[in-house]
Amino acid sequence: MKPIPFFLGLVIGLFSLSIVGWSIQNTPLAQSFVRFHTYNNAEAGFLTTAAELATIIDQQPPPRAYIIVGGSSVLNGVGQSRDLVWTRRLQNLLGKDFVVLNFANRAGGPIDFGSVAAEMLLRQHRPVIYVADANETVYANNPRTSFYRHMLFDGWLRSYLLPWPPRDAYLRWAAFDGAEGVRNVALGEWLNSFLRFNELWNYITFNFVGLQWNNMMTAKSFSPFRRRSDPGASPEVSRTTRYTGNNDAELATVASQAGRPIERMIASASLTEQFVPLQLRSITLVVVDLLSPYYLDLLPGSREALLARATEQQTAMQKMGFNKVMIPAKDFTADDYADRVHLSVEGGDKMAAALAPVVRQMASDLGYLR
Amino acid sequence: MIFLTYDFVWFALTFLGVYSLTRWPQARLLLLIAAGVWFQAIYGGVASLSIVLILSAISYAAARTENKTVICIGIAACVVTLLYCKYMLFLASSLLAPFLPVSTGAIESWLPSVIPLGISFFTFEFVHYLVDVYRGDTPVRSIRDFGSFILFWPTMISGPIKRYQQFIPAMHHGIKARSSSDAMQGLIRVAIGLTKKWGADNLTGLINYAEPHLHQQPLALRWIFLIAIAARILLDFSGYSDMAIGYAKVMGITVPENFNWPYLARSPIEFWQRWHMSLSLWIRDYVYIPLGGNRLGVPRRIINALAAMTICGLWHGAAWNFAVWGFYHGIGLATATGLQRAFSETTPGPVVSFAGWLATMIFVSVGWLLFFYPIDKAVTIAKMLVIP
Amino acid sequence: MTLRRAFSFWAGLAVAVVFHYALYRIAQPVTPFIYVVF
Repeated sequence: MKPIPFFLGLVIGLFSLSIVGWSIQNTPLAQSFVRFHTYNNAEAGFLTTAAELATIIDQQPPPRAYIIVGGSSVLNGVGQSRDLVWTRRLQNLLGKDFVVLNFANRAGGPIDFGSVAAEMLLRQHRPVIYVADANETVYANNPRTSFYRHMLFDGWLRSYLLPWPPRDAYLRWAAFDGAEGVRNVALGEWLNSFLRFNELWNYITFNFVGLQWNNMMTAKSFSPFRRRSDPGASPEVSRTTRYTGNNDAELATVASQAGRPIERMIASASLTEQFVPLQLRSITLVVVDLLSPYYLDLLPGSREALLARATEQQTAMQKMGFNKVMIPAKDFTADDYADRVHLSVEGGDKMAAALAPVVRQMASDLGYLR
Repeated sequence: MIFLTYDFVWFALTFLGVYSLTRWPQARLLLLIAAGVWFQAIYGGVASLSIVLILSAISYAAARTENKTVICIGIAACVVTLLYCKYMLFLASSLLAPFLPVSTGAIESWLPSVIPLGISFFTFEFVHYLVDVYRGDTPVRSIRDFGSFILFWPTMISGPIKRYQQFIPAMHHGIKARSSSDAMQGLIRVAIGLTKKWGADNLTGLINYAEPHLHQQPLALRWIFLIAIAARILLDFSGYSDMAIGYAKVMGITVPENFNWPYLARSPIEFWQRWHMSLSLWIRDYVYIPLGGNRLGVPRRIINALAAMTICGLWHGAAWNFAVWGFYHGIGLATATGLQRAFSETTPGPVVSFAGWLATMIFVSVGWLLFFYPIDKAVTIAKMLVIP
Repeated sequence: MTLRRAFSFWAGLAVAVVFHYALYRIAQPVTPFIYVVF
């Protein structure tokens, strides 16, 4: 073989693939986006990029205000089927003036997908309200352990993120002195900012063929992701199967959670300070999650302990500059939950009904409805 | 897998870029050594690097004395380090525990908190170097040459196990006369290795998924499972070796091949001439032959083969299943050698060759069960291959 | 001669595809497999 044509092919190949990645990054993958698929996560080997979030937003008709939902599986609507997910209900209640986009994800947190989308909109001076969840001690999830920490770097490198010095310093230096997992992600996203391999191969994996076995899809790992349907659990199934699992294990988890020390809340608050810009906090509605009363009522004192800690969290977060902090679940019953943490369709409807007037008032106060 | 991290991508791009732009051979040599130090420090840790440097100093100095007693002490230091870092817990809990009134927890507290990166490989290279000098070969005079041999990052993690007589001239050729053709061949080799690695990773997923349900599968699928295990390890390890050989070739440095289509072997003897060749040659030269090889009669030949292969098995991991796997292959080698001698007058026809190949493949594939699973589980799976 | 050059060029393209995909795949979690335990 001849070296010169080989290297020509290598350079042209890398350049061409990168160009294709750049071009493809704004091609929508999902039609009629509702929420992230069960298999849209690290375990299944599909990591949504910041460009894909921007594409989903751009597919919507421009509203008077975007309502971006971010955070964990609770707000993703695990426990609710796709057709009855709480964000659809919220959209119905808010009407055409608003567009509700559910970027919460299983094992996600408030500083990944949703917040990147919200900050992008803020930078573009588009009207946005960010809705994210916290538990009674933690809001911001630690990038060092977050499954979706790539979003922070991806969003930052695309200039989607608001300037925020403590976070900028972290992101700038993570490639050099970050913890090993973070350093690798930072380095990978730097490379991706030139070569756009995540965008290109996400597109190929979604539309044509999967190339890697993953433990979630097992034998179906190699078929295109767009063929995976994800209706979610039906309400009837949820009703019959909830609370039928290993109750001892669940109770142990509830007991440990209800007894979490205040130091955890303080540590989380410093993470929130570092990673959540003030401007974002000023348009954020925080929903504090509680646990199902089914388990709380089996452990005397746990409901009161959890609610007390959640109320402390609410107060502390209001002082940190979050626009609104609510605990809608304090009036929920066992039927409003599908399991220990996730809401059922009834619970989702209740949450949507509780949030809708607050969101509307926030939009009015922020001047979006003039 | 270190080669599949972004850390490494940046390291490789930076190193190969600077190496290519630097024309002065001595600068390239220093860059090579610095990169090796960096690699060991970043991926193994400073403690790991310290152990490598100490053993390097001992080996270099011992060889330079050309005093056989001192060289033997150097060899002992390397072997003891390997035993201490890797095998202490196994030896203590498996062999000494019945005789020593000490708990496993107490033993663990004596152990090093870090196992040096690639210890199984670099100690073998030190031992090879010292033994060859003991036997009369010329020791390496240049510290830089010796440093490049020991701290060569492409082969640091998992081989191939180099021989200094081949490596140092190859290294000098590379730093002086690396051509664009070398770089091309190296990159192609790396790409081949990457592709094999992905095949292996997919098979790993499939194997881990299928194994708990194996007893529910029909016989044919269980054999496909066995073939998948055999394919996986070949793709994974040869893929890694391809990457190591490829990165070396990008620098213009040729390192030994490790695999030569091992699943074409028609006997266990031929298998070990094709599989992990750098290791099998090392075992032959530094264990089997010193034990007497085949020079002391048939019973001793068999014992030597069993001992050498058991050590070969244990080298892969500090657990009984590895020892049993090695012993199993020792039995295969001894049997194959006996058959070869018995039928040495005849040339095997196509049917015999095919039968030999099939028998070897079954022998090797079943052996992989011992390699990957605890002994009882390996036996259970092996039984499932014959009992529906 | 032209055939060799064309073949070399296509080999370069193929290697580019492999490397580009490798950069994507690195981000995916994988079950690690180590042939030799150190």
